[in-house]
Amino acid sequence: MSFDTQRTLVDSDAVLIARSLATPQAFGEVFDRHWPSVYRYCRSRAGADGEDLAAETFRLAFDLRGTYESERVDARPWLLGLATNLIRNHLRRCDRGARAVARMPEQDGSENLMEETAIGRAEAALLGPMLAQALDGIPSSDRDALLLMAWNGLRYEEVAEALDIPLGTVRSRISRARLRLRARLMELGVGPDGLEPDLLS
Amino acid sequence: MTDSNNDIKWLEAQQPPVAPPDSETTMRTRSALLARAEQSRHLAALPDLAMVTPRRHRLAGFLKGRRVLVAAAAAALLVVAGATTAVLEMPGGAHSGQTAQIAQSGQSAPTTAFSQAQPVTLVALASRVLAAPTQGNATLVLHTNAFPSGKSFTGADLYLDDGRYYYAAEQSGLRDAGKAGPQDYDLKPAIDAAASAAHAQPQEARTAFLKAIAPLWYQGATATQATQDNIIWCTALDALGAAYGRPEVMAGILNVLSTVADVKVESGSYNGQSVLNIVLTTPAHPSFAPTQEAIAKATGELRAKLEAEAAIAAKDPNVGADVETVTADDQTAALLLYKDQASDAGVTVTYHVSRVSAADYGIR
Repeated sequence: MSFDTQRTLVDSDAVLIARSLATPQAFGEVFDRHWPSVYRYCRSRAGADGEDLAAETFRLAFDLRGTYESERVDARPWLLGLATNLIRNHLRRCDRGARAVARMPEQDGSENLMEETAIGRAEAALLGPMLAQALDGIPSSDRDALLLMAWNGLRYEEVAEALDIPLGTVRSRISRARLRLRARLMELGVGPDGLEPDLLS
Repeated sequence: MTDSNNDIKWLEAQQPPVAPPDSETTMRTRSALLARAEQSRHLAALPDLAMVTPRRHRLAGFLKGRRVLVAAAAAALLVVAGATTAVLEMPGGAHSGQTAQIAQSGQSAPTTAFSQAQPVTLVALASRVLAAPTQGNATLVLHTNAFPSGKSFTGADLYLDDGRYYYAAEQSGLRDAGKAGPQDYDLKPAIDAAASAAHAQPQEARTAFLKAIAPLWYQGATATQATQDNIIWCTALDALGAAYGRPEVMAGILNVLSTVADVKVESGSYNGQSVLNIVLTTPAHPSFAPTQEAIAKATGELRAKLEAEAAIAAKDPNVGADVETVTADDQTAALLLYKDQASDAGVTVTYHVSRVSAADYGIR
């Protein structure tokens, strides 16, 4: 057993996931490595339900492990991307007052955007009034990208992996989200206690 | 971080505070995932079978999941007083026509059932099992798993005494499984530890068993008795199915099981056979929820967090008393039946266990 432990410490996630195709139990090591961060992210965004969503993330990841791209050494972006989709679906289900979501035609030939700019009541309740107000008006797809970066420290490339979208799309989503966020913070009058002065300048 | 990232810094600071997952939650989730891993190996023929949801308060889910997959089985060891030949037969049922028989000379078998008036303990059963003969070189476990939904499936596990393991959906598939080579299912540490614990005091047996089977974080001071009991209960029952017919291993497992809190042992009958019902009653109070005492001691933000956790636990539909019952032959400790009365799982596993020779399945 000690050999296994030493071996898995140096194996990349990609290797472990590949191994788990033949030996499913190997996926346990992937869980051990990433459970805390996935749990934290899910709880942050979905409150108490986040625990089940985090567990569901790993269940889904296990089922989809055959599709994992072996060049992705670190599985964390992939897992957080799965979690993001589950959270989004969960919040939609929870928000009884959600408006009907209409698919927009493809824009710029690169993405389909959901016309879902108003933050849902369920999500607002979970995030708290200040954060909800700050994020309101930011489309959910942009919010996802922004929070993956801000709360998980993912780089643009990793956000692209997580959401399975082109890098350019990530840049535009985050840029757009930050512009709106800054504007909202200005409107909300978030002062020196909450924000560095230069942001308000 | 540059000044232009102040909005990101603000967002970071606004992330709702989340305590790290506790060991109970982590263990439960991990166990369910690994149970699914087992399921993926064993249940390819049943892709639509819903995964058994683990209980929140105990690692019973680990057992349920694994029982669903691994499911052992039981056979009655028909013994003849004073005889020098022991014949293993399957009880009546779906697999009764597929009985493997092994005859061994020069070994006598236990003949006396526990008196109904005599208190039955697992330790006493361990002593009885130690007197049993050793036969064959493998344990064949045929199982039928029935769910409340009406779905059911079967499986055949072949555990060789040397640690090799083979699985097929039906007993008839084991020859092909043997040709394909052993599969990964490592109960060997548990079985080896149990064998060493056969003659140990129960608490010593428990410590050694836990050390062999559990990751370090189960063994440290942070792991609660309930947490440790959980993994012991689950692993011990798996090992009990896998090691049937190996007296020292069985005795060691029973020794270890005797240390699990909330376990009761009762005499009973099953299909006209004298049995022991080993009942694990999970307390309704979830071990992961903060106690009122802990809440009372806490102040400020910590207290608010603990109260919030307690409120979450109180609303959890999975929290509640659960009863798992394992029915075993009171002579041999062979598993006969596993029942979980939890409303969301409610699986019943019927076991048919026998000792066989691996050569009967073309395995050398």
